[in-house]
Amino acid sequence: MNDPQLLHEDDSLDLDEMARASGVRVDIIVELVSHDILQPRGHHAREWRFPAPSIERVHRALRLRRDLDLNWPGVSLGLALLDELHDLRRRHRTLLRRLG
Amino acid sequence: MKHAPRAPIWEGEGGAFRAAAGYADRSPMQYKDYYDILGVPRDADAAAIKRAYRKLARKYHPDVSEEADAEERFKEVQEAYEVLKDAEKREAYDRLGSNWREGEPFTPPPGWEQDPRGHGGGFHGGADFSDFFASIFGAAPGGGAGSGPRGGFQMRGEDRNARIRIRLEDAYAGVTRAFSFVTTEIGPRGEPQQARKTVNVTIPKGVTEGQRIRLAGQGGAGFGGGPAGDLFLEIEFEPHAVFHAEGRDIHVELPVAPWEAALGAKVKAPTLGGTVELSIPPGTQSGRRLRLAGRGLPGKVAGDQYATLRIVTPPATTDEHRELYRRMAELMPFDPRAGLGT
Repeated sequence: MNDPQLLHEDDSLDLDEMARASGVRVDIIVELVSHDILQPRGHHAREWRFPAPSIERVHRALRLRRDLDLNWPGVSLGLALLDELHDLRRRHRTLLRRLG
Repeated sequence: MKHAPRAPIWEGEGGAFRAAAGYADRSPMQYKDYYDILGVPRDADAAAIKRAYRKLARKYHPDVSEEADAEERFKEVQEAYEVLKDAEKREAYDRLGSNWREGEPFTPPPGWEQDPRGHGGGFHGGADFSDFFASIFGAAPGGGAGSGPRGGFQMRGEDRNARIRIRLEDAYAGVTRAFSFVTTEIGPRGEPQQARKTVNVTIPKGVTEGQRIRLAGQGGAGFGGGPAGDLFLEIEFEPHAVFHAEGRDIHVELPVAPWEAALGAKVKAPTLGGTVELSIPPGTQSGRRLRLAGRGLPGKVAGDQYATLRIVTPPATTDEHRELYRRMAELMPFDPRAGLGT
């Protein structure tokens, strides 16, 4: 089994590494970037650096597209809203804990 | 008997699937009422079935839902839709009859082993469908859709998500934790089966809440030779009596005495790395926040600790104490509500 890997914002991958780590073709990664689903650092594809948590984002994007029959703009919107929801839920849990 | 003998549903020759042999001698499988799962009548048309699926998929999709059983419910919904959206599969399913009830012990009709014929092209949706599904439509991997005459179809297994709770102290210092989970593996006959696994997960120091750990290949099994999905563990912190974290920063509420706040003092303050001395500037008011640089969670750039001061009034329990407060009032005329226009 592969060792557990912490998906750390500070660790970054280039385009080929990203495709390999996510198990998808390079053109899918390019497609996801074009729809703002992935936001690598760098202007040109050869300069792109993807933070490691993007690996999971690729999988989520593909699942949402397949399971909810969405197009890429729909996936992009859905993920942005889910990110916000996730963040709000986490803050909510933290606040509830602090309130005892 | 409640269920009248039914005509064999497996007819003709060939087909895309091999039904998984061996289900007959396993523990009794349960009937799945796919119409009930989707909440549609048995005569629902294709549009109604699609609408019901979409509604439930949005509700239970594991990437969307926070409900504890979302993953299981979504799998059920996917399985039901897989059958009911496909005219050939739906017909085969309908021929089981309408007297069955959800969860009832189910045995495939006579003749199913002798003349195994698949129904309706490849399916999609993962190898995690129920034994019931596999008994009728064939198990997917290794003996099903991927390897049939129309095969060549591969699919990566589903990712799984779970939360792993650690103490703030463990996030500060790093920790190795055993994590147990149930995973789906493909059995010798190509049928999905559940197995419990335990892995040791090393959590490096400086993790923050919400970060994810990827266990590659520990998600759902793939099929048709496709790779397994991954297991993602989201870091969650246990509630702490003293601290709470926001990102890499640690927050603490620090009680101080009125004279410490008024005159300034050096006080002891807890941090995750141990007790430190903190200087309270003279004239400090309650709610003031002091920063202890670099005393938060470690990282390339370590977080800070913020101490929010709370002035605690000493209780006046003796005549002497009360006299002291009275003298303060005389000597220090002070209206804390001056700014309220009262």
